[in-house]
Amino acid sequence: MPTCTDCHIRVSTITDRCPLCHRSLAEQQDKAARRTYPVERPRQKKNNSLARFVSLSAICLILLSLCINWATWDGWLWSIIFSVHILYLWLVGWLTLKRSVHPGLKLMTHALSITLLLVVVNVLSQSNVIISRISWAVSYTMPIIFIGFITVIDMIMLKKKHNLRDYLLYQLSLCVIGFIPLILVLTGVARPVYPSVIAAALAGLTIFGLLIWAKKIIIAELGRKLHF
Amino acid sequence: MARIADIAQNDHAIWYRLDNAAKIYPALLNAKDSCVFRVAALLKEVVIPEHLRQAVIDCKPRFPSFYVKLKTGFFWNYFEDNPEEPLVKPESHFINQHIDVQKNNGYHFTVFYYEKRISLEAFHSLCDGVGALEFLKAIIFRYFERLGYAMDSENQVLTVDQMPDQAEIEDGFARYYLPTCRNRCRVNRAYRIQGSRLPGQGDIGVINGKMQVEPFLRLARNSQATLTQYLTALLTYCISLDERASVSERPVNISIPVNLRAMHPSRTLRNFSLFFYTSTQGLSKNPDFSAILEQVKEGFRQELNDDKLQQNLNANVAIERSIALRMCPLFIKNIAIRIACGYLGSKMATSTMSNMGRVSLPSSMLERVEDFECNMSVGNRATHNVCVISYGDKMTISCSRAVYETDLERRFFTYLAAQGLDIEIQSNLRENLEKG
Repeated sequence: MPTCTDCHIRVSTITDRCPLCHRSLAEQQDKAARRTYPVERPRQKKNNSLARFVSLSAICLILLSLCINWATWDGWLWSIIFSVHILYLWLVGWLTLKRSVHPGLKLMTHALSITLLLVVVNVLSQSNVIISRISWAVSYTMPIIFIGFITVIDMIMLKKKHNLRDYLLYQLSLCVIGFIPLILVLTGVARPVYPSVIAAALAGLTIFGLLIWAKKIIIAELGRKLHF
Repeated sequence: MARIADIAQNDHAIWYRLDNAAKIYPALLNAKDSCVFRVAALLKEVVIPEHLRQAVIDCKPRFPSFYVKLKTGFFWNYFEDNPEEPLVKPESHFINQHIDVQKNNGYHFTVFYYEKRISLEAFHSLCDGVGALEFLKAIIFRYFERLGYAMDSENQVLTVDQMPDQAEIEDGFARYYLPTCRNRCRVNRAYRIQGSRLPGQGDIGVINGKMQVEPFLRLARNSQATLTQYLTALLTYCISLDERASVSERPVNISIPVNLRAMHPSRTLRNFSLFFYTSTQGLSKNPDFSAILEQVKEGFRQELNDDKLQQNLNANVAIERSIALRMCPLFIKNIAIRIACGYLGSKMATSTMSNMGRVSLPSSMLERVEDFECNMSVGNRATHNVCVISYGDKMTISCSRAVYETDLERRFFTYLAAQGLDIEIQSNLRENLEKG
């Protein structure tokens, strides 16, 4: 085993220099030593450059649109609609590609963010905005989006019964939010009534079904998630 | 029937609250600090990966608190039974790296093999060194059984034919908490060892020094010190030999983990250890080892006693149990923990000296296991940590560092060599890298 005459220690790792003082051990390479750690392989570098480029581009586009809107002001705040679209696309892209985010959370976030996007577009695409005129976003698209996403999560839960509780809280949250279109109808903000009633009925049925078939799971999951 | 089985699986998923120490680590995780530590055993034969993989799978029912995934709750994180198969991987050149849970089937530990070595890297929320060592011993025992050797545990190893005991998964902090006197070990902000950071996030340089235990114990006894006291004093002395430390007004504080199982009759395999600090101030340009050793011994006398440790335990658990903290959502707690530990806690220690003690194995394993070693990770602030483990008549001192420079290790081991100890050095050769 090579010995460092400066440090007075033996070196059992194959190396041409003393790990402590870096004195050459080259002339002792014939002595018994072994590889104590695996050969270094180049580490796979995490390539964040695309994500950074996309984020930076999104910020630049938003700032640019605000500047153009301000410079060419004609009373219409179109840059907000543009910015919300960019933010939505950025969020959808980031959330969809991120592996560590649970699919249930992804679906719930998609449902909420697309609803918010359409409401903002609806509000800002009309002049003389009054709440009763955000008609198509809250009357049609909001309930239809909730119906779609609640149905998708219902189907996933039915298919992946062993992972049912992983989706449970996301689905319950979305079902509670699914009553918002009906509330908007009852308060006179949205009409016609049918899409909102269907969304609320589906949300209610899903909650009812979960309480009937998975009451224990819900209680156990809430116990875990809310323990303090 | 299938539906009932599915629902039963959902309904009866086993989950565990995190213990007092485990609650901190998920909040502290970042690219530079993996909160991962490693214990490894060097066998006398080359490891057969397939048998090792099967041994790790076989140990699953026996160690339920290890085979879990970390889940996020609204107020606290929690562990939940992980149905996936644990992975066994060839060892990487980079040790104690951040565990990518997504690529690790959700597990927070990984078993590695390299030639004759089996190593276990575990996230600190799962267990402390004692728990990890018991787990590794059980895996190796099962591995030998799989190879067809006649094995007898002699009640020194947990075996797969036993049922897991509730006492092994208990939260020792909660069990031995007393709502009486609370006091925390307080020291001044510590001197920080300077150096050029190794390239790559979380890269760690390792230098292991292997030597005989008996000559070292004689050396410590001659100074009327224990092994840990002597090593702590030597580490302080070697740090203080740096010119910057001698002119610094800050003390050299060494953080020392204490196994609370020695104080309380707990058999838990989860975290049950605390830290105390030895603080050495007023270092001169020509420090005297004997004077430092006396200061360290005094620090041990003051801090390493049942009363102080119990007060420290009480203080930690009392914070966790305060209504204000419990009612805070987890993301606010995480911010608070990062501020408290990241900006205050880690500034209190210059380095850490952890003595894992002597590993005991049944005779059927003794003839097949050559040696043990352990490595701590290094974080944002503490650039050097030292971990000691002994097995049979051998002792391994593992120095982990986050910088290129090996001056501290050189002073440490050459001092011991000058005392007449025969030292064998191993390295993962990070010191040979070109400074970038």
